[in-house]
Amino acid sequence: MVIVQDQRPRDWAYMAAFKEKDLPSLKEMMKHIRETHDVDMIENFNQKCEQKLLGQSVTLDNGVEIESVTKTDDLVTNGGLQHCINLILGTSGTLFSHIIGSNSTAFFFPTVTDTALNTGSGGPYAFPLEWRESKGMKLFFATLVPQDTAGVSMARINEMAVYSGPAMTNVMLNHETFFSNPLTRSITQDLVVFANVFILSCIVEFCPVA
Amino acid sequence: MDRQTELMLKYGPKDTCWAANWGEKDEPLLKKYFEKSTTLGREDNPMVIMFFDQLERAWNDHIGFLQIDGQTFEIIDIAKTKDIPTVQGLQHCCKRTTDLFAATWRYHGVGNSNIEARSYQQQLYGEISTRMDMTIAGAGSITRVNQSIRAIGIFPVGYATITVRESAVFNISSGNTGIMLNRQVFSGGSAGVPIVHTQGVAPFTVATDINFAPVTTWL
Repeated sequence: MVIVQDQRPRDWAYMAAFKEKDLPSLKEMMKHIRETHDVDMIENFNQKCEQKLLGQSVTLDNGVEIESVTKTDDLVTNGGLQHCINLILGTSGTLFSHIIGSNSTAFFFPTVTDTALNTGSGGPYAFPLEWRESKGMKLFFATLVPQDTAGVSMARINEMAVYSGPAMTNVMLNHETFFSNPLTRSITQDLVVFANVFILSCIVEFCPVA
Repeated sequence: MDRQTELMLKYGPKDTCWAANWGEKDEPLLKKYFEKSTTLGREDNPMVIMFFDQLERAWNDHIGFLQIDGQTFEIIDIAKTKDIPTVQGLQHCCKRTTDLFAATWRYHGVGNSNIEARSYQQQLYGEISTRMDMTIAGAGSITRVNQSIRAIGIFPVGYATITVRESAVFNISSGNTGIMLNRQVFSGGSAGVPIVHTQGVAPFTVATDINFAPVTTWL
């Protein structure tokens, strides 16, 4: 008789803030990654986020400085894993395509059975994926949260998830929460746009590498 | 044991495999069972779940049997082992998750080498004869059950004589080529005494469960 412990894939995410003036450079970086599948650039981005978390001043290779970063370690959902297996076996052709974010002030813990975000204080806000890549035993997803004020509550994003479509009726891969450590951004003086843009980047790892 | 194999065993998906001999006249029934199973889809298929339940039942010294069209047929001999997915196999899974053009898992192979399984291996060391195409209803089945990939290869009566000491799932049909998803070794002792297949006598099956989200349980 053998006890098997909980051993689902690991999942973590970064939320990074940049100045609004850096938006063109960031878009160009994401376009480059989409077109060339340059996963090294993704790993470099995530590594720079880790360095920023340590309090260092960090600049990306394109000269863009990361203003601030927050990180969360959360989990992959059962439904998300099932959809991954369906993709692996070819029984589904719907790739993960969006990150959906929301603003919720209610503190809660994500669970593996989650299928939707809490949207008590705003959202859901759907953002198409800017990159969706794999390298080794990891999956990489990211999106850009723009500077416009589609919803004032987008000043802060408390939770995010990768989805197989733009609605929460699609399949949720993972559930990441930033309740204790969200980044906030303020509106510029002309009251039209936010002063910062966010990049939401998450990683799913099926097995660590020695 | 190398560090990567340790990590795979500790953090990777859990891989369990059963090899079973069936009765002399059971090949048509096995094929009929999986032809019927195919009609029930490739997600949470109840006939696949029943098949694995009966394998585990037989492993626990009870009669493991299946029924199709009012006929009952049972497992004669069984071996079970818990081994390991490969690094390249999981890499290919990740690739499939973001790129649907990569070839998917489709073939089940067996061999007679008892070299211990490691996460970096990419071949069966004593592979003989043909791999079974699990997408053909009479030759096997590859489906999802909850968070597991369940792959079943049906090896016919006419398959070459072999002591089934190793098995694996591949994406290519030819022996010693393609990406290997996992490697299972039936080396005896707690890992399961290997079954012996004699050509022309009876069919055998090899069934693998790769669980991507194992929870605390007793197997």
